[in-house]
Amino acid sequence: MSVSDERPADYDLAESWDPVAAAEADALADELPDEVADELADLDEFLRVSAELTGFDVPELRATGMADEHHRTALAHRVRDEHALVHLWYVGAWPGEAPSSARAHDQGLVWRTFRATPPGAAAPGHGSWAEAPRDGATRSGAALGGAPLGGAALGGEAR
Amino acid sequence: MSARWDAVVVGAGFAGTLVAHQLGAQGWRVLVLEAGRAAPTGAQASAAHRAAGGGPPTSPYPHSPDAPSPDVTDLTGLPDGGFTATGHLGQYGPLPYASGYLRANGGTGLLWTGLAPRMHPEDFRTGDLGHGRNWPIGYHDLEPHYRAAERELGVAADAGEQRAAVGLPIPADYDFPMRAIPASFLDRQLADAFDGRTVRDPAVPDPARLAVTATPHARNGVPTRAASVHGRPAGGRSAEGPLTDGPLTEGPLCAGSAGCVPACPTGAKYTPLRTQARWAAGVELRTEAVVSRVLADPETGRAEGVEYLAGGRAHRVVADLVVLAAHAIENARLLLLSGLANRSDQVGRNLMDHPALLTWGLMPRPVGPYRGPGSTSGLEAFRFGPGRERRAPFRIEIGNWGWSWAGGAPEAEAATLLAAGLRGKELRERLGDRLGRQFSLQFELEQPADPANRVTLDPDRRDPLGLPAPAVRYDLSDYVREGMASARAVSDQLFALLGAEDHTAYPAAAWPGRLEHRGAVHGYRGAGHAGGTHLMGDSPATSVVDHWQRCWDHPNLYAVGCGSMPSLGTSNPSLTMAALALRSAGRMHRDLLELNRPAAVTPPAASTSRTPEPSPSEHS
Ligand SMILES: Cc1cc2nc3c(=O)[nH]c(=O)nc-3n(C[C@H](O)[C@H](O)[C@H](O)COP(=O)(O)OP(=O)(O)OC[C@H]3O[C@@H](n4cnc5c(N)ncnc54)[C@H](O)[C@@H]3O)c2cc1C
Repeated sequence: MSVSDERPADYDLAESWDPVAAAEADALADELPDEVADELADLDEFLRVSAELTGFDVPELRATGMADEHHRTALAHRVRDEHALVHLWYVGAWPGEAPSSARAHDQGLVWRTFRATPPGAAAPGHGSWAEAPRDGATRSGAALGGAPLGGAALGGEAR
Repeated sequence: MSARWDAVVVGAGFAGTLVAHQLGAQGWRVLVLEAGRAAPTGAQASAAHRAAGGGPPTSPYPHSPDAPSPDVTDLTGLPDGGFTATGHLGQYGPLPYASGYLRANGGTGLLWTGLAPRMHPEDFRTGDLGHGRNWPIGYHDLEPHYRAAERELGVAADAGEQRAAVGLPIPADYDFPMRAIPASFLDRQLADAFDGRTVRDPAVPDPARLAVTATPHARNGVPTRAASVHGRPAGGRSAEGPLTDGPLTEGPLCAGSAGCVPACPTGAKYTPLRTQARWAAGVELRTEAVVSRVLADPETGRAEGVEYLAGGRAHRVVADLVVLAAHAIENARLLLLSGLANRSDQVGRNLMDHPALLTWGLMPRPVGPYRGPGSTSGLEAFRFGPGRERRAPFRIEIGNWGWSWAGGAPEAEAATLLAAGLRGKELRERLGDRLGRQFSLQFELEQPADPANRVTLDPDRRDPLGLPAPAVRYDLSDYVREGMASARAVSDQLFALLGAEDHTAYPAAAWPGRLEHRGAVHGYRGAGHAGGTHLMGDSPATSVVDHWQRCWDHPNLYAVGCGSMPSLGTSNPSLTMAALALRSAGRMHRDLLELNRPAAVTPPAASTSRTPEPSPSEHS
């Protein structure tokens, strides 16, 4: 039967088209200690901290091909905090900003948490959607399953 | 200099592209005036959308400042209920018209999902069922044109299943051009739980039997016998029936990119650009040409041509036939701007959409969402039958793209868990677990024609060219609200059968389309299916166009598109719109033959390739 009242939203759905806005709000809440922030200038240290925060190990992070780009993005921001770093890796964008590239978007870890690919980024083949999903979070860089599209699909120049 | 076109078509969207193609193929000289800019390829639009990190459906397409388009992000829900609207469409409530459309070459047909079901015979007689209006023609008048449209669009479906599970009278020897698009893994989980079971719709005495049924798509599946037998036929035609030339299949197989809206990156989904690529040489397209009014002889009522604005100037073109194909809302606006075709006072009235009630949750086990087309199967049991007298019927789409339409796409989920403080392995695992189990149900409800739901010219707002902007007054009747109550009751039972966790909630700020009915809150999205604004009927006193989509008051002025439809049923409307457009194109061809009769030596049926006259240029 119909629900007679509104169920409490456990998620704020206001961000339907702007997922980064919610994150922005509390981005300053968990600033990294200064000494950590300074060490981030080193790529290896950046990856080590990123691995801890994201739950993806360093080889996995490297396999996205985004290590350098995300490192540059992080260094371009004065205020760096845990939240922003994880957001960058998971969504491909600094909170409140567009992704640094289509590739950054396509390589967002959020899709790898359930072995999926973002809409439009891959062409896994006719009928592939009928198959059972591969279970477990991927441990390799092969999350972009099937035949990827050409350069356009994986973030290169549009054709 | 002054010259006549055989036809001028206003709008190179879904319907206009089809009409121009048909007339061009008959040798007529057709000028197509398109308000928007040239469109990028699907691959380009998809890449732009991803580079921007998402955005509403019109966002990756070029926006001409002179031809703004409304989109869903124009609407904002207010924390205490109600909504505000910005942008092209003035919204005067009480509820929002919650859909967008696109003004660019190819129109909304660029970004559509590509679901292409036929309407059911019952859907053409909604007036008899006590709600809305009847059509002046029925399913059987349209049936051959459905086949022609399915050929032109390249529809993938199983004729046997459509006959048995939907009850469509499809000729026994008919094959769709392509086999049904495979059901998703999610569809199959739902079929395991649902098929053969029953649920109770509180508005209907008898229980409803469930059967997960494949949805017809205008995207490429594996070609059937029909395609391999006929190959690419060289164009049989008759003056009465639809053209049968054109491809049965074109473009690659759907490869499951799961980005159909806003753009298919591989070209497997039909868009009007496919048909435009086959336009005859006698069809000329002018983009960034915004038609501002139709010119008609006040004595005879005959349309003489149109005026359009381009490059900062007004231009006039003259034509034997004028075809408005600018989308339901813009067609009505153009007729109102021109002061034409409105003897019945129905122009702009009867605006309809499919309000889509969404429910969503988590399946007990991973289902692999965000794969394949947006929806591959549905439940048909609530579309027909006696329940229709009491509540709006609905079709249930099984949503393959998780919670994205509801507002809970993966990025939003990640942001939410991040904001909740999750980090590291815990974040990864919890997010993966939740995202992998996401699914949604989309209840697309019929909204009957109601003259109070209306497009008018906004007295207070003008567009950048100085033309009065469209304004909308929109509400959902008790009949639709009862449909929502039934839909939610059915949803609850479906979730129980699945053992799924229901996460449906409609917080006011996130749901501009939100209402309370008998104590329950319902949220809806717009399906993008604008119709009814120049509806067809039997009489000039009560309808705007006749069954050929020809304005009663102006014998050579056509208004084509979903605006002509007196009811939308529960089918996504574009296939029916396409069938109507092809049918009307046949009538236009005969009109043009009659107009040119003194000069025509050959009888109509034999004049298959009328030689074009020297190419015209118009005065401006
Ligand atoms: C997100 C979304 C998903 C959809 N999915 C489906 C689906 O799965 N199945 C389905 O059946 N339907 C679907 N639809 C609906 C479908 O897109 C429309 O029914 C269809 O595009 C309408 O065709 P049309 O030719 O009337 O209008 P359009 O396709 O919008 O074309 C109108 C054209 O006219 C041009 N124009 C407008 N004003 C002027 C002017 N003044 N002068 C010159 N040109 C002008 C526009 O620029 C445009 O090119 C969807 C819609 C949306 C928004």
